[in-house]
Amino acid sequence: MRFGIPLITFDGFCLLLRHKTYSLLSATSHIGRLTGLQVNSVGLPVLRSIRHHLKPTTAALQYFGTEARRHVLDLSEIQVVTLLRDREQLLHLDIQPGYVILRHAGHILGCGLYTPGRLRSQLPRHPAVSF
Amino acid sequence: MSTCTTVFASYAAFIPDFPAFCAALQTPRSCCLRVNTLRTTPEVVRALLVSQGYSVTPSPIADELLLVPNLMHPGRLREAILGYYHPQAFTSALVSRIVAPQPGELVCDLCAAPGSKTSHMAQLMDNQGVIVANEPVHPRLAMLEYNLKHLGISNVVTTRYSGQNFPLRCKFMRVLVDAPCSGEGNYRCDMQGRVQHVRHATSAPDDLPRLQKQLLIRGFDILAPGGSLIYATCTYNPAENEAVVQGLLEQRPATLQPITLPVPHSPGLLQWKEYTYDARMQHCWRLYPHQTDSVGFFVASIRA
Repeated sequence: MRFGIPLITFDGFCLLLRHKTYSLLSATSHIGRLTGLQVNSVGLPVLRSIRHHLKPTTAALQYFGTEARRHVLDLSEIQVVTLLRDREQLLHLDIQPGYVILRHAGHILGCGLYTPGRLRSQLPRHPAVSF
Repeated sequence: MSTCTTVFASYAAFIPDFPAFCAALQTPRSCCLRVNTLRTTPEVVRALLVSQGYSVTPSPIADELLLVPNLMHPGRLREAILGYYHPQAFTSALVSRIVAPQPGELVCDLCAAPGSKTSHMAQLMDNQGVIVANEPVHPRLAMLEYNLKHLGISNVVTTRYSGQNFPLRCKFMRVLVDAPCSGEGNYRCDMQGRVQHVRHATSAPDDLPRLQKQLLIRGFDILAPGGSLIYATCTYNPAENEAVVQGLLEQRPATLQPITLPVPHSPGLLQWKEYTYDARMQHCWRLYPHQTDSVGFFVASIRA
């Protein structure tokens, strides 16, 4: 709901909860044939349960983020470099605090967390990436 | 005599144009990128790379493969963290093309880590159907799951069985056995002239053919009727290739089928040292670095 991604985007997926992670598995008629297997992981992890809220994964936002209509934050190259290096930066935005989709030059980078006056990176650490 | 010549001297009898083979091993391999078509298009990645000064050549056999000879560190570009591509050897990517999984099918990758071929197959299946990706070694399983997540793969279930003991109750339309091997195909000099020869095997080399035979037989046994099984290694050693396939042909009603892709290759061996192999072994592919400018590979396409 936060990102305004149309529900139809998720047609064709099964939502599964395993431990504290929600995953989307492509819907398939083969699922019954797999029930005897001891599985380690299933599909694409999209949400993790953290205390009393759910955190979207960067992988999910990179996959579905192009469909988002709200809380998408366009960053300049300098802002991206700063965020990757310092993991946070001061920023005042007129949006509800919470998770945001980080986008640069039209490309979805992943997940950030906005609290009043501050943007925190939720992106996986990539020490040697050049922008 | 160069190091390469010494290391592979025992294979000189069957590697075609052995001096050219040794010369190829002395030069760095061209970078090959597999575009993640679940996220973007080859045209977008090509344009992004060209804008950064890289020379990009499309592969003649698959739209999603781009050859970028002057890219040294593909994992360090922005496009890598976006999940737009996955660095993968050209011959490694060929294996998934030979498996040729179709959207909606049930597929098993019996030795899946680190997930290059699994994710490529998922891409070829347009994230439809299911791939069971099996990997018994925990750190390698974690690597597999990271790569699947990073590339946005939603049709894979991972399991952690010993491949040779994978449950028989589930049958698959296609099975890939990309077996642990001695890794001779990775033998290559890098830009600094240092030899890169990675042994991926967790078992002692002498045990590998036995493990490979067990894996291949289990791969055959979990095939649905009429299904297809691909056996691949990145080594030249006939004891890990033709001899393993020969073992399957002797123990199961399997047949070898021709591989039809327009890629330079050599046929499987019919004889090595004192061993004679089934005439159908000619349908197997031996891929050498001087023929493909990539990693050495062996591929067999088997039908139940």
